[in-house]
Amino acid sequence: MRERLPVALVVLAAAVAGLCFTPVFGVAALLPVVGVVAVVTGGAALLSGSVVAWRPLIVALAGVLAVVEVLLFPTTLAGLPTGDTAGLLARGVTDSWQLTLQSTWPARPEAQLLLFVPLLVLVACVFGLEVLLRAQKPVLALVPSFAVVVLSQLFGALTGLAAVVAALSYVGVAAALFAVSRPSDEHQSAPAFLPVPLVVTAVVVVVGLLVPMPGPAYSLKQDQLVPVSARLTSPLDDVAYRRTRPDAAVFTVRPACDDCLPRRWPVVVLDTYDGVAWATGSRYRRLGTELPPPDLGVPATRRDAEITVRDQEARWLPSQPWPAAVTGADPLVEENQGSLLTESPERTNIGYGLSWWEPEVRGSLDGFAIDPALGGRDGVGTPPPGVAELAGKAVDGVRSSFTSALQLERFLRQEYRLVDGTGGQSWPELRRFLLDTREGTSEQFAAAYVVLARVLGIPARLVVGYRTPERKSGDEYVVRNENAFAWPEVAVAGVGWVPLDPAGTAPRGSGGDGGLAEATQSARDRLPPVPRSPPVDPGGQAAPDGQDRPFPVAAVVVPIAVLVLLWLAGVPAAKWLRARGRRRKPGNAAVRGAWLEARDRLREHRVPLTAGTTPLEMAAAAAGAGLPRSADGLRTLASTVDFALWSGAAPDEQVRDAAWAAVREVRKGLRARGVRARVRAAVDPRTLRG
Amino acid sequence: MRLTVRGSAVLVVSAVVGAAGLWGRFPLFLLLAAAGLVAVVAAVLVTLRRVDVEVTRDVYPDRVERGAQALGKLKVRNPSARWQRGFLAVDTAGGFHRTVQVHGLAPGASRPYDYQLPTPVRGRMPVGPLVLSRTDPFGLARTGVTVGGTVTLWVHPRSFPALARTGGFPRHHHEGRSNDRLRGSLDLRELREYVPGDQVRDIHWKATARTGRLMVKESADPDQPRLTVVLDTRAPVLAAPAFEEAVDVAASLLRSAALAGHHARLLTSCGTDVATAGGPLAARQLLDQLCLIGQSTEAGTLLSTVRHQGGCLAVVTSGAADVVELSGLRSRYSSIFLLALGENAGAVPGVRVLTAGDAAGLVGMWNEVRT
Repeated sequence: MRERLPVALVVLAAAVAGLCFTPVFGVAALLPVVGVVAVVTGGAALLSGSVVAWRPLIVALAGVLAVVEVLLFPTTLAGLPTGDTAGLLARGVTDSWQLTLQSTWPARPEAQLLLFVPLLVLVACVFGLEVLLRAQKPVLALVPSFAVVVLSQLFGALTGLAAVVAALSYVGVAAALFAVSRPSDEHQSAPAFLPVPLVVTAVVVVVGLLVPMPGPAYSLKQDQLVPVSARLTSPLDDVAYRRTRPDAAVFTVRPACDDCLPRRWPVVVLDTYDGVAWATGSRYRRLGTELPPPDLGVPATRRDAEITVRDQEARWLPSQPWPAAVTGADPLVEENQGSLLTESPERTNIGYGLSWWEPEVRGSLDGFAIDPALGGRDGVGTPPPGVAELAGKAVDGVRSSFTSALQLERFLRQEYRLVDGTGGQSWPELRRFLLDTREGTSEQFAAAYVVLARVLGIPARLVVGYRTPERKSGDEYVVRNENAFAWPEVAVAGVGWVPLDPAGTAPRGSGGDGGLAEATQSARDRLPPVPRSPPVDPGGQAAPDGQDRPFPVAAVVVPIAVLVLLWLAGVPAAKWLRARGRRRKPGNAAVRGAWLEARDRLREHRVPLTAGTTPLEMAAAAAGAGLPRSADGLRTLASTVDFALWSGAAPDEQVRDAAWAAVREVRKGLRARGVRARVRAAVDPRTLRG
Repeated sequence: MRLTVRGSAVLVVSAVVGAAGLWGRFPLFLLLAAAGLVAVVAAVLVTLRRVDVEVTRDVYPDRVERGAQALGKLKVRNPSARWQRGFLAVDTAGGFHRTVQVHGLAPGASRPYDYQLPTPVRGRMPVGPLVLSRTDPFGLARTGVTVGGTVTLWVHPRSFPALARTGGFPRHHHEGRSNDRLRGSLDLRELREYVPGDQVRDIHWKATARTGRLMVKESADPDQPRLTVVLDTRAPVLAAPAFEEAVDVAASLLRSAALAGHHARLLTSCGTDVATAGGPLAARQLLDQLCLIGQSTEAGTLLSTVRHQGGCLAVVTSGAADVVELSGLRSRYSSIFLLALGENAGAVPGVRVLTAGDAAGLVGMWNEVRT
């Protein structure tokens, strides 16, 4: 059957388009279901050739059945779709695209998220096949799959090698379809098919791999977040309550290795302060299979631990600043802060495996710069009078840096006293703590530190969590209410969020922070006794804030050099081609071409000529310009031109050769002008315009 | 050189996708746009060279029966000094296209190609001009050049072998026997002895002198054999396919009569009147005329052009036509045939009615009738 190949190609185009969702789900999750849908729809279209009117329905049903068997097999009854299957399928049509947009990527390959991709491929197949087989329009048949490609890029753009592979695959399929359905059945030899694909492949590979491309400007994902109910108890208010019941177990930790146990377990990050209360971030997404390591200046190591939550009311799950993956639970994650939130707190004992990225910091953090790009500047409310002055006094006017952050920490540690009880974090209470009583709870220390740091321009945030207990019970650590506390974190360039301890309640428990605590302590130890300005050059690690990038010398110089080379080589080459063309013209056109060639050569050498100058006048002009040999050549040329144009006889080979010999004579004469004039004439592009 | 619809679509989509890719910084869009633009540019470069060949095209023969094949002869020569890649030559005949794949040609080489031209429709069919085109392997761009003029192919109606049936026409109003074979204007049959009442001008003096008795020439009046065919061209009477059959019947009768050397005359109800003296040229003249005849929508009578007499009259029409007036022509023609297509025509006094569904059947019946 002649239709077989075009049908296969249209289906293949739709499959390639479906695989363009790779940034969203990963190729391993997409390949089986997209492949099965493509094979089934293509086969159904070919087999239903005898019932053309029913073909779209048959193909669509076969495709849907294939999707069900691959993705929704658990809901079927021995492979037969049930009511559950239909319900899930309907939700897949309406919701799965949105659930996917609300997830972090790569998303989990679950049916309720993944369903819309094979369904899109199926729709593209059905429409593409009908356009191909009914309307016989192979180009239009690619429109549905191309629409899927566009949609996939609006979801998540392919970059780098993946983009090159996707582009080559789609273009290859389209080219094959074009080749098998050419408008004219002109026979093309096999070598005729080779050059164009090779050139296209080369261009795509070069452009895709060598030309730097920034990330996409827009994704449908950026405006889609999971709506979270605002009715959540602030964990900050819970800390004091928890300290009154110190023995209740909150969660247990079983680390994958003893060395990789962190000292702190952040539960929630409080970033926004309006002068009264602290609020968490609101950018929650479903946690996908894996989060990428943070883009910091230091390498990050992946760590794992098993966590079991014992607290019945808990909706916030113990986490780490840079979570990587969660297994055994399906939480939401705050995409900027790493807090984990379960959607419903029904289950009492949630056990889950947590993986996180731990930045490895070596040496000391002394002299590091702060990093405003990480956030931590969301409001200080309306500070009462005296607070700003206090902040300035605490750091003694030192510029915002990690040094000044440590100085502020030292100031709070030395000047204030920690007490138990309920403090409160609104400005009147903080003012009383800071300016009057000078004693407060750990929450007040942390909150006061954050607002003072923000007043000083240091990005900081408040974190509520637990410290790891010192002793193991059995093979796991049981974290109890007594371990709850709050601490501030400041954003440090190249390292990320660094926890500080203004209350002096540093976790004395076991565990390490990938060297972060040691590095901080080292910087703390190097603090000068009297505040002073930080060094002007804060070390090699202190990256500039990204605004003064080096001037792209190569990007500017290389194109200019290429253009200059093109001019220097292209203009003489064009002239040579022009002369060749003139010489090869038939009849007296070759003689006239010789005349034009001589005229152009003289013009390039600035010999004054007008449009109506005859060859003899040209000879006179050349003689006047001090070119006797050229003038002789021009006189010879004049006689051949007169003969060719006015004798009425067609000039034979001899006359034409004589004319061009005269041109050569003219050029030899022009050599007398010197090298500089000759080079200038050779690259002069003006005579090419005529 | 110009882009095909497909090439233009690729160009436009690439430009749009490229603009979207630049605006939104989508690498895949930029790569697809680059691929599309490069493909179009490459296709343009591939088809940039003109088809530079000398082509002569003949159509043989210049007159064919409907349904028969005419032969187009293409001779392609490469006059340039370079190898010519293959191309397609598309010849237009009527509303039909014939495509010839011309293979690559070495410099100076030439190659002949034959192809058949379909002739399903009667009439004058313009053939040509010849379009030489070359496309790139993906159909994005093509270059084409139109060469050669237009020649006219006459598609005659089909002719079936028919009996050259004619009727005599008394030319001299001679009172006596008539001769149905034409040998002269006054045909000498015998010499006989004078009987009272014979005209004196008939006396054959030489024989009288030789025999000594009065001898007279007995002459016979030769009938000039002739066939008149009336073709009904009124559109309401015959549907278009039936009309073609009717034309075929008329062509069969007239051609055989003309080729037999008889006077043949074509009349149509819309006023055509072609009288010929027989012979191959006359046959060609009649067939050319039949080639051009079309149906007329004007209402009129069937026999409006019948103003002559003598010979055999064959009226080709449909069985539904009103043919009663034919019986009024009995005195003017020696024999009258009504060849009716399709329906069963009623009997008309003095007229032989032949009825068949198509031209072949009707001509067959014409051949079977004995007089």
